[in-house]
Amino acid sequence: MRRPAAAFTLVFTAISVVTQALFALCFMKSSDFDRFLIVKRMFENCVRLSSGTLASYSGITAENGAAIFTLPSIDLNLAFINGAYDIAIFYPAGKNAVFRLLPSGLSARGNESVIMKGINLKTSVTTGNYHSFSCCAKNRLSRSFYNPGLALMLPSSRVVFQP
Amino acid sequence: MKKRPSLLLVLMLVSLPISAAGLALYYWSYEKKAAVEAALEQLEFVRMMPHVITNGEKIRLPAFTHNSIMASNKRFSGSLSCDYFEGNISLRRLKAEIFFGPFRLTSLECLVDARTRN
Repeated sequence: MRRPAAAFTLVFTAISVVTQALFALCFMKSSDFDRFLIVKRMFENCVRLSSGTLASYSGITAENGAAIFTLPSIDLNLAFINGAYDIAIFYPAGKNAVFRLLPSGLSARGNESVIMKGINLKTSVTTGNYHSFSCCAKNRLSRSFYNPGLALMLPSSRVVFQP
Repeated sequence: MKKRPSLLLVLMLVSLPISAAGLALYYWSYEKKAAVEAALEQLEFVRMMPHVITNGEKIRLPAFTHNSIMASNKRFSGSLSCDYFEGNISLRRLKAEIFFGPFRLTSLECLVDARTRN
């Protein structure tokens, strides 16, 4: 009577170990995907709020995979301040990615700096007939295309991209 | 006299299908999340570039641009369709559907005002 029970326990243990391993694999895939989504949404939010891009800012250049956006500054009532811009930068730093928000003196936005560990970020901003933004994180690529002549992404019917 | 099965063995036997079902559900939720993101990306693209699809047209996904989520999931298939919403020519209805084999993962609809694209 003991042998079938022992065999069953062995089979059960094997199946249980395999199930747990698969579960761990799924969990890692899922958490990687979540991290990609966080970076992608952060990047796309900046794209939608931006009014233009810069080639370089305080030593960080777009050539090195950085994306530098200018965001119209807002006051405490969330109204745009004419002529004042905040800077949002995404850039790779070794094996990590960094997001920095540098508000202007008049802006109600706060200074923000986020280091995203283990994210291999590559961004590119190309302009032509359409603006194209690419963001690669955790080896997944996200691409957005916007038509600068028609895109009205800011709430008060502002043209987002400078012609 | 017939011996009753051990309680431990019964519990082990019961836990097997439960853990398998949990794993399957977890995997399904992951695939579903990826499908929603892929469909959203396609809808967003068409929202910004409305001229790429005409009314009554049905396009197989992935379309227009490289979609890394669909590229990494070869078992995903889908379609994107466009029509007028309730016959109103200024209101377009975009519908993105993504399937995993025969199973539908997601079906997203988006109404776009053709004049403002909001």
